[in-house]
Amino acid sequence: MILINLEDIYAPIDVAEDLSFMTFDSPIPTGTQLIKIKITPLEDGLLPNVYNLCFGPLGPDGEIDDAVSVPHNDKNKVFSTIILFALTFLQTNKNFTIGLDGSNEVRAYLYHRMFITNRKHLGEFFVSLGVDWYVRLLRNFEIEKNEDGSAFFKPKPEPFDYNRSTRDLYRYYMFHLLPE
Amino acid sequence: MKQSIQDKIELIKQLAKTNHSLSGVSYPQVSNSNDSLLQGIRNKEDANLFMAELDAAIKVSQSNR
Repeated sequence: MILINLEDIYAPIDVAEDLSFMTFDSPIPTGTQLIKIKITPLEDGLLPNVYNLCFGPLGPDGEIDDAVSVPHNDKNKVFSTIILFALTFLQTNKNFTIGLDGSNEVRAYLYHRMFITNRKHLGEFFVSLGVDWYVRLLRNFEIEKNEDGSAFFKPKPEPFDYNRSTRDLYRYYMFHLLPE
Repeated sequence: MKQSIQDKIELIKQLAKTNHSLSGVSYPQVSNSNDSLLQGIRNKEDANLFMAELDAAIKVSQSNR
């Protein structure tokens, strides 16, 4: 269970001028692990106000390796640091929405539990949203398809359903700054 | 918002303002192309529909608080 407390975070080490990334040290049993948080626009530019957040240690290529599991001494503080950085980014870019890719089952479970467990605290700052994928049933009772014949699934955002269990995870998690 | 939280935010913003890029290191400007959200957005029409639904969901969330 992740408990967010935005008053208890790790000290930032390096912060990009445009707030596109931040690094901090997370204590682990064998020392410390440098963690990088990156907030970047989606690649094709079709969703200009939607940004993706990813985090993790740096791999051999210097990029974030979000697949590796890090034995953080204090996971709550790690995630509090990440969320506070996201809040800082959104305060500076009030019309943007941040997305967390839940395509990895472990991460999706983590995000879902984090949103539910910290509903009150996160609700002071953010609007939380979940995204499911749907396929359209056409009038001829066929489903809408891609050019290659595969089903075309479209993402559909909705207000986060706090009654939804972790057996029914969203595919993508998003949050937006609350208006002042 | 508690002042202690806003103070932490201001610290991050201050660090950002005083940051100097590390020489020889370049950071990618866009996220990984494997982001699952993009897999369902084929064109501008799909994107406009998603953004309209996102805006509507945000408004509903705000009114439900």
